[in-house]
Formats: sequence, C-alpha cells, structure tokens
Amino acid sequence: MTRRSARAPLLLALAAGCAPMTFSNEQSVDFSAYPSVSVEVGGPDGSERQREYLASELSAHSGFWHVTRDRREPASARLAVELVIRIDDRPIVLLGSDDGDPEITYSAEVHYRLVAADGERIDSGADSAEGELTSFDAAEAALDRIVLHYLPSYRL
Amino acid sequence: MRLSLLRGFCLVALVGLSGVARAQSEEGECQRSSVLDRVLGTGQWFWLQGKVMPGFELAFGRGLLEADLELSFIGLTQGSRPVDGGLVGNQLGAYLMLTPLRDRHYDVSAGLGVDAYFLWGIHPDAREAALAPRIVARFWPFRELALTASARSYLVQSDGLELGTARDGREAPRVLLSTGLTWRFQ
Repeated sequence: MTRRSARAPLLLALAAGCAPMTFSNEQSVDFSAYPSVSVEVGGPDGSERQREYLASELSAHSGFWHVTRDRREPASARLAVELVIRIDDRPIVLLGSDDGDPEITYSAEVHYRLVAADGERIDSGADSAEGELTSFDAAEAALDRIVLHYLPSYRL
Repeated sequence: MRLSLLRGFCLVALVGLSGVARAQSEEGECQRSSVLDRVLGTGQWFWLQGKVMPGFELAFGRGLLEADLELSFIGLTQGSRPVDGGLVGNQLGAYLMLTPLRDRHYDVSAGLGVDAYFLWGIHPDAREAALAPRIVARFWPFRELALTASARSYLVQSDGLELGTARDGREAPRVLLSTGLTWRFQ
C-alpha cells in the first residue's frame, strides 16, 4: 500500500509531463462532393506508365474514394496533368577530375487541373521535382507532389 | 530531397561513430589532444500523449560547444486513418548547444536547433519542421553513464505541426520532454 502510494506521484508527474503533439492536414478539395476521379497524364512527357503510377498513388494515399484511368468510366471529377521532364543544367567542367562519369540529373514539372463532371474547375496548381537520377524518378517525384496535394484531412 | 537528407544524417552519424572508434583506440595524450573532448550517445523516450517516440542521440562537444543529432521513431498508440500499422515516421533533430555548467556529476546545456518530421507513414513526401530552443540536463552517477532529461519548445512550426495541441483541439503547455540514458564514449 505504501509502495503504491509512493508510486502514484511519480505516475502523475509522468502523465503531466506528456505533451500533446498533433500532425494535421486540411484537405484541398471536398472529397465528399467529388468522391471519384479519372486521371489523365499528358504533355510532352506524359505516358501510360506515368498515368498508371499517378492513379495507383492517388488510390493509395489521396482522399478520393475511387480512382480510375478509364476516361469512359463515370467519375465526379477529372484530373488532367501536364508533365514536362528536363535534363538539369550543369556547369561544364573544363579540367578533368577523378570523379568518374559526370552525373546527369533530371527535373520534372507538373501542371494540373481538377475539373468537375459538369466542366467547372475545382482546383488547379503546379509543382516540380529536381535533382533526380532518372527521368522516371523525376516524373514520379513530381507526380508525388500532386498526390501530396490531394491527401485527405487528418489529425494524428 | 528526403533521401539526400537521410543520407546526410547517416553520413554525419557514421563520421561520429568512426570518431568514437578512433577515440577509443587512442589513449593518454592522444585523447586529450583530440578535436572533441566528449562524444555521448543517448537512448531516449519522448513523453507524448497518444504517441510513442523512442529515439537516440549523438552528441559531440568540445568545451562550451556541443552539437547534438537526434533520430527518433514516431508511432500512434491507437490506429487512425490514413496511417496503417501505427508507425507515422521519423524525427530528425539537429542542435547547436552551449554547456555553461559542466561538472563531474552533472552538466546543463541550452541551445537552438531544428526538428524535422518525415511522415512517411502518411505519404513519402509528407514532412513538418520546427525551430526549437532546447535545454538538456545530464546527471552522472557513474563516470560513463548518465541520466538525461531534456525539454524543448517550438518557436516556429510548420502548418501541420502543433506542439501543445491535442487532436480534439485542447491546449496544453507547448513543452516536449524526454528522458533517457547517456553513455560517454569519450
């Protein structure tokens, strides 16, 4: 009994020392109004592989309940993405070094528009990713920024 | 970006550990003339409501100055969407500390640094950060083992990070406490 009563202040002190810390996000669109989305990736560097990647990442992480790549499938919104990939500018090395092959890096830029089934624009934006080692990595890093934008609300 | 940050942190940690190994292999005068006069490793626990946050810290110091690097793991005690499995991500901390009080049995440091949270349990690119003043006190009952307590607050924090605010919006003091055990490598 005495030991228990001696332990109580220690437990109280520890409980009082526990601070709340919350990670939160406000969703950028009303996912209850636009629960499903069809995805299109175009632009000079858009490809089926990148459309598939974006659709699968949106399915896994975004607030959309249903994501489709099939334009004929009915959806409450359409996400149109323009993708451009570039080789990053690098200073030209005039004197040789022992570093081996120079590393080529890629950057990618995305412009996106979310449009409702009736044609009304819901949301739009642009983002980019730089310094990736392959063009695929650059494209996927830039598409990841779109997925990040469409995360659902959370308070953890 | 996040990979390069992690790579950078690992590199610093490896450099630190190689410094530890080097320091342990040297004795006497060599040790005293080393760039660092202390290398400390701490296993610590952050006291958070609704989360578990164990981690470790490497501290490198000479005289009044000390650099502290932290790596912690953040988990939820109760599952919540969009996190599957309860693991939210990592915290990386980097601090520059001053140690004005230093004795055989205790030392007290104060400093400023950054806490970065990589919330890969939510999304690989989800991250938050804060600028934090921090106080650390170590009590050395043994020459090489100390009990450590630290407190920090967030002066500036990114939009999605709220220290001192519960999930339901309840407010509390904006102080994050941790306790741990520290081992002196040098």
